[in-house]
Amino acid sequence: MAKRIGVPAERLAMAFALFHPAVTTVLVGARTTAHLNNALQASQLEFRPEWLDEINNWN
Amino acid sequence: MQTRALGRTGLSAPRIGLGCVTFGREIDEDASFAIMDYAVEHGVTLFDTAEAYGGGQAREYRKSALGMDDTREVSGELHSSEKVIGRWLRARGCRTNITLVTKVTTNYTRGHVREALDASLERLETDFVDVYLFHQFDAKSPVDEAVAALDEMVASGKARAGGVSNYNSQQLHAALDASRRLGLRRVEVTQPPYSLAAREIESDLLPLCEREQIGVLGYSPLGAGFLTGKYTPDRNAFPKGSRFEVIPGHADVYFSERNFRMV
Repeated sequence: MAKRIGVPAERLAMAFALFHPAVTTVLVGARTTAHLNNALQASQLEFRPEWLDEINNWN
Repeated sequence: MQTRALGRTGLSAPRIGLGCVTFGREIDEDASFAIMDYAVEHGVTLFDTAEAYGGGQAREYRKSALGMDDTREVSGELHSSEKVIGRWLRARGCRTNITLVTKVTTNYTRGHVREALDASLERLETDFVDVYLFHQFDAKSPVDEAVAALDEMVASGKARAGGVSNYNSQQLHAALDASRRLGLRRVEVTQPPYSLAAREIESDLLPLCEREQIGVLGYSPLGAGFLTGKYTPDRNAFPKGSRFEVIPGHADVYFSERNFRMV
């Protein structure tokens, strides 16, 4: 799915966690600034409701 | 960086916060300073730590209990995460720009919580934290005493808000009930694991937090690295130096057939 929409899997996973309305903040444990950068990019990514539908259909 | 109100604490929190568990464990002080500098530059001004985070103790423990020498652990310093943050705060002189979160590990009596927070404040080189959390549910700590301990820490000004981590919805509910019944300050923040590979909190805990306006700090958004796809179901083949090689117990949380199909 990440490949198809052209977003790295880590970034998609992070964007998913940020998408839930009850979540104030997502904590990122970084060993390098690149890890943190992935999270920063994810926070700019607009997570689409249809992606969530697709995720909810995995099993 | 976008921010959101952290529940009813009156604090505002960036959408991304920095988990500082690696400081002194996987990365040394220079690398930790560089990450904190980079974080603040990009608006990541919430730092999450705990008295339990750090080198030394954990390495010795793993050596004796698991027979492995965690070579990633770069410091033998106990509580190194808090200490590294404390030295960074002093070096940069920017305490008031940071929303600081730390945790007491267990034994939530008033006396112990007071002592533990005083010790954390000394290591963090500050006179208050923004949020003080119970690290995990402790069945041996009566809930009335526990919420009274948190209330006292907020009343003293040493913490601006109290909260919990790794509580399920029933445990959080019980804490909220107790503070309401006793007329004390309530738990304002919770910190659960939340990721594509760990969505359990969507059914009960997150709806409770929405109803009660409790701030949520989600951790392990990549399932402790699981979602990066670097693991296979073979537990004898964890990549060298990876989280699950160092802490094999964490793999139990994520190693399911469904999760492997997902990655």
